[in-house]
Amino acid sequence: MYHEPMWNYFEPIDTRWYRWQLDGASIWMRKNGEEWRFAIVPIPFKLIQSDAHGPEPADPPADVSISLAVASGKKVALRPHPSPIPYVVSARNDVKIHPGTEAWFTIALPPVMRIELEAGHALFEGSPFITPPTWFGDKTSGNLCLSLPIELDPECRNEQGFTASDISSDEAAPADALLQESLQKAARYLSCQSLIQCKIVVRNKSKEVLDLKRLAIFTDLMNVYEKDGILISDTVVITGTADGSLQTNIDDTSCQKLKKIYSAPKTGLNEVLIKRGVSFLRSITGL
Amino acid sequence: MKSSILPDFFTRLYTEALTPAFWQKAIGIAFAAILILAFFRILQVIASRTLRKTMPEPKAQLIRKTIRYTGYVVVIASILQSMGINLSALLGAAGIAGIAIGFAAQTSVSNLISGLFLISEKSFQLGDVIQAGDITGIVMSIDLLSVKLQTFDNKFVRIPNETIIKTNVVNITRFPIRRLDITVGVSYNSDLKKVIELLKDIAAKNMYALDNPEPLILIDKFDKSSINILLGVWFEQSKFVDLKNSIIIDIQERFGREGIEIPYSKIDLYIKETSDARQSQIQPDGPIIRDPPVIH
Repeated sequence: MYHEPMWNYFEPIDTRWYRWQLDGASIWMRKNGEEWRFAIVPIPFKLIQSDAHGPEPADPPADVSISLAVASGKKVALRPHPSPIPYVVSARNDVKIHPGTEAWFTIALPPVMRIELEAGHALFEGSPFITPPTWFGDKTSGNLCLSLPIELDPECRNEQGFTASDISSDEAAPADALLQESLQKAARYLSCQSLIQCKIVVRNKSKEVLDLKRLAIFTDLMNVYEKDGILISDTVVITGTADGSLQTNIDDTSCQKLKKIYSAPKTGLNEVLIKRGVSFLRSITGL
Repeated sequence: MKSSILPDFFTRLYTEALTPAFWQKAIGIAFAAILILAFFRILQVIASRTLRKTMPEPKAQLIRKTIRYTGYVVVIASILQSMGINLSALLGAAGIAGIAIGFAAQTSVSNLISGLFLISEKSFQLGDVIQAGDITGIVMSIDLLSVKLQTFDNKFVRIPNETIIKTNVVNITRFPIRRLDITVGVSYNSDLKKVIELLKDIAAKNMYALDNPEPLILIDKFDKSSINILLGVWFEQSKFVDLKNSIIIDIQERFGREGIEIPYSKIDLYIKETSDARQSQIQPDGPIIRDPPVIH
């Protein structure tokens, strides 16, 4: 019995274990009447290997702790959502974005996985990928973040040989060895179905050069969608304005036609601030 | 005659206690007292809700307490006034008594003033972990006379404000991240460059250690039996125990695997054979047993 795609609701058979394989990590589930059992085996994010499928009937997990929930319901789904803790990524070397230009980056974010009933009630939640903690800010204030071992390579206008198809096809492999290496590293994460692909656009409308070193991505207001089995989030747009401030917007227009896997909570003020593009300085420093 | 206020009051109370008018008046006074207390209670709730957003908790608590005790004073004054007790005479007497009490209560007054300084200085807040002298605990309340702490072994400690003002107070949780310093001694035969690389790797792999700010590694000094290296690992303040336990285990295990010796104090015992020693009994694999000394 094979269920496609991974993130759809399905009706498990009582007393049978099911397993999702998540690019090296695994999540198990078993229903027995109103009793639900879950187990997770996480892996370090660095050890991720592209191989995601499930749910499939499986043997019970061995030597892992079991979580229990009691709830009535027939259909469940595994739903990924961004971590409530922000992610921090570094740019490869330093990226300088000159006035009037923009660069965009695509990164793969490790999600938190949630098994939920059709009504949306979460039965189990866990992080299949272990990422080290890092601090974004100075020593007196800042945010605890998850450090992603990804080095960002910028894409920009009129750049050739930097598309998703280039990453996967050998024919269009770029001649530049450095770029090829960079694409291969990116492809390792971008080809993983259980990671959320997030596009970040950095626009420099100021009169100064923006120096990009580390980037914090606050994902608590992002929606997650599915396109051809790949998880995609809203686009993050960061704008350096003429007055020297930075604005962060969440752009959800490009994904509106896609199937929504996760809806971000509408938290009110923060969301309004972001949507309207009011200065949201905490989301990015180090530029 | 104002000098006999209380005897007059008790005499009148005795004679009037059984009359219906007395009880009518008593119920009226009680009703008024409840109304006044309710009024001050409402005032306190309003102040509490307003101040919660605009003021630090200790200051808000001080204002709340001021409102509450003002309410009590007003109620007591009203009751006494209704009972026909002349308050001006009572306050006069209280003034004289106040001077006497003031001399007797110097410590309390000192604590009170220290409390006001503590609250205005904001060195720590409720919920902070502080170390005052040799006491470490979580701040439960900052009152006018004392600061109450809950220690980690669950003791309740009351420290007078005056003591706090005079002592060095360390606020352990003021900043969100801290550095754990561990001094690791390695033998003189160790390859120090390898040791540094190992320590970096151990810190990088520990799930509680932050990768930013970067760990500090400092070759500290040549000690008696080891070269000491300081490893400073940054962590989010709530992970202190987890980090300390895990990283010490990590260091010991990894150094053991990599053949890095962590020396410890040893005493090499050389036994010199003398005529006394020949007389002693030496047991194989056992301690040296000497004849008991003879005392004359």
